[in-house]
This record gives sequence, structure tokens and C-alpha cells, in this order.
Amino acid sequence: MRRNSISTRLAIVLVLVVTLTAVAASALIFTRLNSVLIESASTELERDTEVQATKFVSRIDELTRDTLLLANTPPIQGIIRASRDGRDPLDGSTLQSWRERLEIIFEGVARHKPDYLQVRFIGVADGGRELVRVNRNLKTGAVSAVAQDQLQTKGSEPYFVSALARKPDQLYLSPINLNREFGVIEQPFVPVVRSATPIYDQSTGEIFGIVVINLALERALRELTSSGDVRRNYYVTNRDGHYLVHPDPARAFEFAYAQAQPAQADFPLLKTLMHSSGQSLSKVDRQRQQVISARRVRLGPASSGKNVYAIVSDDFNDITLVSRAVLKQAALLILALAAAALFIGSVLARKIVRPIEKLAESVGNLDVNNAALQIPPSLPAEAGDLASALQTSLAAVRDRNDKLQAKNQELEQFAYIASHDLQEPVRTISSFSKLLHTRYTDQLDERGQKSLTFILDSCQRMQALIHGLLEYSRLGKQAEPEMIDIADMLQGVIADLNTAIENSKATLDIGPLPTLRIFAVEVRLLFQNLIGNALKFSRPGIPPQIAVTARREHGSWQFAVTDNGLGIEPQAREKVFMIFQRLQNRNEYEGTGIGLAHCRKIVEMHGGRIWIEDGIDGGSRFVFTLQELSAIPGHKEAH
Amino acid sequence: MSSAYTPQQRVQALEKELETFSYSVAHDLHAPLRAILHFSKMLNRRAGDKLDPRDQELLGQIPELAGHAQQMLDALLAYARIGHDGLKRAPLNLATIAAAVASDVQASHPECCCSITIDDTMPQVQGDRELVTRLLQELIGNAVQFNDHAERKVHIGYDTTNQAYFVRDNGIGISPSGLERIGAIFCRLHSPGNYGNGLGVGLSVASKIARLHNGRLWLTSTPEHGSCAHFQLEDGDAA
Repeated sequence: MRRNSISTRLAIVLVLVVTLTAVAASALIFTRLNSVLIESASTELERDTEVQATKFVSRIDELTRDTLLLANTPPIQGIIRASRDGRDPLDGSTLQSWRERLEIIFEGVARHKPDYLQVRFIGVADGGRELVRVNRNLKTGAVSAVAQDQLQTKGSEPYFVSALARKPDQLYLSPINLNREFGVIEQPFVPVVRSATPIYDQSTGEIFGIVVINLALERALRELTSSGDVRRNYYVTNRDGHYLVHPDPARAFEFAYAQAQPAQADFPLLKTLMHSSGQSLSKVDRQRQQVISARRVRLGPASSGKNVYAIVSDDFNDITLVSRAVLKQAALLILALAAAALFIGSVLARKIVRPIEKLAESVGNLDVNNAALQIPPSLPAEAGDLASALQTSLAAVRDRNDKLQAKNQELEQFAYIASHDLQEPVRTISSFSKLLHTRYTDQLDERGQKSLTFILDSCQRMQALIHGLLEYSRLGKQAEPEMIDIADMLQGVIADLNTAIENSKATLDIGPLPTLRIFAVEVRLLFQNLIGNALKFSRPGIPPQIAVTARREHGSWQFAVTDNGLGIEPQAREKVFMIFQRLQNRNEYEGTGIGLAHCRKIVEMHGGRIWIEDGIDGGSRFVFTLQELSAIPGHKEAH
Repeated sequence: MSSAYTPQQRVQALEKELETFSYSVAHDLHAPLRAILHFSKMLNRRAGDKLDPRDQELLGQIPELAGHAQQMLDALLAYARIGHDGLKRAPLNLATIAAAVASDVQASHPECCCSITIDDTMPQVQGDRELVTRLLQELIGNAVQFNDHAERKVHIGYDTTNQAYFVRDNGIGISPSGLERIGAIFCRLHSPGNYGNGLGVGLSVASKIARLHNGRLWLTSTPEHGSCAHFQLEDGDAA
């Protein structure tokens, strides 16, 4: 298939239309889908955090309920009563037996609550000495009471001091921090919250001690920060905005070890939430390509006013995962569509172009002189119309061609007859006159001699005219076009005109010239005429400057012969090409005035035209075009 | 500036060229001919007696020759100018025109016995009255002129097989080689003096008139038994 042929273009256009439409539609759907997904993402995040927060809150509530329940079990008051004088005045149980009973209850509770690390009863006496303590071994998970001699003094612990300050049945919930054993943070660290309530002596109403449960928060925090969606990032901060949970493990509980950057710096949204009364806030952050949701989560009883904050973020990339998958499928679909369009387009285009090609072929094979155009049968409608239109215009062209040819023939015939048939009487007159001249020159008087000279001159002149006419009618008669290097040809012309060039001290400037298929003899005559004229019609006393140039123009060659000679008046520039037209004074320059008529005929034989423009310093510039003859069908008939 | 003429422009240019061409040829050729005529006559008058008789004859022939050349030139010009002003088409009845021409021809050849038959079934045609009359003049004139018989018969009619008009005679006929040459202008098949002194433009003129009417003219002949000129004059729109 030719490049840029109609069928290729059709196929390309079809592919482009289909592809562009599909791409545009997909792009629109993709962006719409994305924005819908992103809008709905914040709602979804809020709903998820709400569910998770509820679980977390209920865990803490369970802890506080257990603390209050344990504080009100009978062995607590039993221990208080027995600790006054070693034995309980009510039922006579020893302090030891009350302790054992309480240990059993504590152990029972701890055993069923796997997150309870310690359950303790601590007295005010002895600087806050532990009275009953049940421990969970972190490694084995086993629950056991701690022996009497291993109990510690906790009088200075902040939770102890704070819990003592509470009223009866009021609860103290410690800030969330890391479990310490003997003042050192346990490794791997265990986030812990302590729930404590003060114990009062029921008989005296005096403060006796506290009951405290240590809860490992790991599981509760995990619940707060996990959902089905693993791509989201979860953060939990304490009320001050310090991270308790962070995707980067190094940043969780950073504040327990060192100065830490609070979460408000990372999430301005959190700062807003902290200063507002709402429960949650969401934000679509286009700059960070994230959707962020933050929620206030109650820690302990509502009255305590303690909170943690849960933050969840989801990247646009994750949110739009679905739409991108769709996009990928769409891209594949578009590729398939483009391929289908290419196929259908080329088949269709082939179908459309085929009749045109057929037609072009038959027109290409057309013989201008043969009457009928062989139109392939069964052309579809438009091609058929084109064919019949071609047929019609072809007939018109033929008709015109015929007329042209007839006119040309008539012209040539006229020239031929005028020259050929007139030649004979003139030749006879000439020979008679010459005879008389040689015989009687001495015997005739001056006027007689003059008359004879006039007759001879007239004969000569007539013969010259007739010769010119004959030449004119014969131009191109027997010629076959040949490939000619015009530069070479011009060298020959210049050599012929050498005498005239040297006599007039003329300068010739020959530009680059092409090699063309032309009528060699005729084109040589053309250049000879034009350069000869330029030499002949020069300004007296000024050496002629003659330039010959050529350039390609619209599939033909345009030549120019420019001189600085006498020039030609604009109104005479058409007329000079007529036969026998001479503008200059007859005596001043020799010639029959047939030269430019020849030039025009030669140029027209080559399908071109000739005209005159202004030359250098008032001189003239003869411009003519020549078409390569192979490019003119039927050129032999064209003249 | 376009580098080539359109075909229409070329036809017009050629038409104009033909006109100026014939004019300038006539003008430029006439001038020296006139000079020759003038000076040869003058020479003859002034110095004729100084020449010996043979050369006097030569000198006497020069104006004759020049005059002949002038006649040819004029005939050529007249030929070139046929139909120059365009055709004035009108419906023509060829029988009527032929009858008028026939009587003219008979009047100009009073010495011979002519029998001219004209069919009145000839179809009408669109044409230029003046030119068609000229055409018939040339053909009927030729038919009468190139004829040795005591009764010179001419038959003018329409031949449906050829779809052409014809002018048939019982004259001297034309040899096959003559048929080939006869289309050319100034073609005389016979030496001057035999069968008239025409320049040999008659058939060329008739042929050109037929061409101007988008038709053509051709001859058929049996030597010694006469010849027949056929011509078609198509309606102007037929082309």
C-alpha cells in the first residue's frame, strides 16, 4: 500500500476516532469513579473507627466494672477487720484465711480475663504495702498469687496516690503507659492501663487502701486499629497526642523514653478535633493524596473525661485500586478495539478505494487519441459517477484537442504553402535578375542599375522570408525527444556565437542548468535566438551582460535569459512573438523577424509559454517554461 | 503567473496567431513582390531596348511571375480567411442553392452543353448560406470544367448509405495518385492551359468549408468515367 494513500488515511482516521473516543470515555469514567470512591472513603473510615471504638470502650468499661466488683467482695472488708488484731471479730477467721479467700477470687477473675496482668489489694499501712497480689506470668500466661515475703511497697506510685484521693466507689484510671517491674520498663514493652478504686473501712469510714487491676492494652489497641482493610494506616494517641500505636514501631510509646513529636504535628486534623466537641472528623487531603479520619475514644467512665484518639488514613492509591484495575482492563479493551478498527478500517477503505484505483488504472492506460475510455464495469455509485464525468470531460478535451490540432495543422499548412509554392516564382525571378545583372551592368544607366539592384534585394528578402516560413512550418516535424544536458548545449551555442560575443565584449553568466528530455535541435535554436537577440539588440557602446538561469517550478522548468540591452516597451511584449514582427528600425539590425515566433513555437512544443519581463538597466528578460517531454502524453501529436 | 496555457486559451491563441500570421505573411511578402513588379516594369520601359530579344523576354516574364506569386498569395489569404468571421448558421435547402449555382455555372460556360440534375429529396441542413453556396460553386464548377464529353452530366443528390451529399460527373476522373495529392492547396493535376487556369485552390476551399461545418469532403473516381465528390455537413451540435 502506498504511503498516505486514501485507504491508509481512512484506516488511520478510523483507528484514531475509535481510540480517542474510547480513551476519552475511559478517562471520564475513571476520574468520576475515583472521586466517588474518595468521597465515600471518608464515610467508610468513620464508620469503621466507630465500630472499633465501641469494642475498645466496652473493654475498658468491663475493666472498671471488674475493679468495682472486686472492691466490694466480702474478703476485702474481712481483711480490713482481721488486720486490726489478727482475727476477724465477726466470724473469727484469721487475716491469713481472708487473704487466701481474696487470692482465690482474684485468681479466678484473672484467669478468665487473659489481659489482666495483675490484680492487687494494697493497703495504706506500711507505706502502701501490697496485701494480696495475683500475677500473670507474661511468658506462660499462668496466674498465681504472690507469696507474702515478695510483696512490694507501692506507697509512692502515682496511681496509688490518685486512687486514694477518690471517694468510695469512684474509679481512677491511670494514663496508659508501659509496665514497669521494680521501676524498670519491661521488654518487650507492654502498654498497660491501671484501674483502681479506694477501699474504705466500713466500720470507721477511714481509708484503708486500694484495689487495682493492671490491664494489658495490647489486644484492645489492636482491636482499635485493625479491620479487614490491611492497606490503611492506623494511629492511636493518648489525650496529649502522643503515639500509642504507629505503623512505625519505633514511634509507638516514643514519649515514654524521650522527647517525642506529638501527633498534632503530623495530623492538623487531630488538633482541630481536640479543640472541638465532636466525636470524629474526616478530611480528604489532596496534597498528601490521603483520606484521613480521626475519632475521640472514651477511656473509662464518661465522667472522668479521659480520651484516646484513633486516627486512620487511607492513600488514594489504595482507595482507587478498584478503579485502576478497571482502567487496566479498559486499556486492554481499547487496544482490542483499535486493532478491530484498524482491521475493519483497512477492509472498508480497500473496498472504497478499489474502484477508484481501477478507474485510475484505466485512466492511466488511456490513449488520448483513442476514442473510448475503458471503464471497468460494475463500479459502485460514486465511482461510476466519477467515471462518467471523466468520460464527458475527456470527450471535451478530445474535442478541444482535435480543434487545436486542426488549427495547428492549418497554421503549418499555411506557412508551408506560402513558402513552398511561392519559392518557385521567386527563385525564377531571382535567377532571371541575376542573369540580367551579370550581362548588362555596364550597359545600363544608373537608374537601370539601381532598379536591378532593387529587384535583386527584394528577391533576396523574399527568399529569406520564405526560408523563415519554411523553417517555421518544419519545426519539430521529425524530432524525437532526447535527454540533453542544457549546460553542454549552451556551450555549443556560445561557441557558435563566439565572434559576436568577442566583437561586442559581452559577458555571459550561466547559472546551474538541468538535464532534460527535450527536442534538442529546437531548444538549441531557442537559446541561440534568445542569446543572439541579447547580443544583437544591445545599447550602443555598452558591452552586453547576459545571464541564463533555470529553476524548478510546478513540475516544469523555468528558464530566463536576462540582458541589459535596448529592452522592449511593455505594450509590444505580446506582439514580438508574432511572425515577421520587427520593432527595430529595419536598417539597423539584420534578420527577418521570424526568430521570436520560432521561440514561441518551440516553447509551446514543450508545453510551456514564453513572456518578457524587465531585465537589467532597462534591458529585457525573456522567461520561458519547458516541460520534460516524457511528462506530456502524446507529445508527438501536440504540435 | 501560470506557466502553460489552458487548452481553451491555446485554441484562441492559435486562432489569433493564424489571423496575424496570415496578415503579416501577406503584408511582408507583398512588399518585395510589389517592388519587383514595379522595378521590373520600370527597367523594361527604360532599358528594354538595350537587351537582346531573348533577354527582353526574360525581363518581360519577371512581372508576370511576380503577378502570379501575388495571385497565389491572395488566394492563400482568401483561403485562410474562409469562415474567419464565424458561421452564420441557418436552415438551408441544398436543392434550391444547387439550382441557383447550376444556372450560374451554365451561364459562365456557354460553350458547353451541360445537363445538371438536382434531386429534390435532399435533407435540410443547418449551415452558412454563403459558404455552402461557395462549396457547391467549386464542386459543380469542377464537375463541368474537368469534362471532355459533349454532354457534360452533373448529378447532385443525397446518398443515404454514406449519409453524405454528392456531386457526380461524367468527366475525366482522377487517377489514384491524383486522389492522394488533390487535397493539398495549389494542387493542379494538369498543366496550365488544360482545363482552365485555376490556382488549384477550389477543392481545398470546398474541403475547408465542409470541415468548418464539422463535416468532411472526399472524392471517389473511376478514371475516364467521371468522379464523385461526397461531403457531409453536420449540424453544429453534433460534435
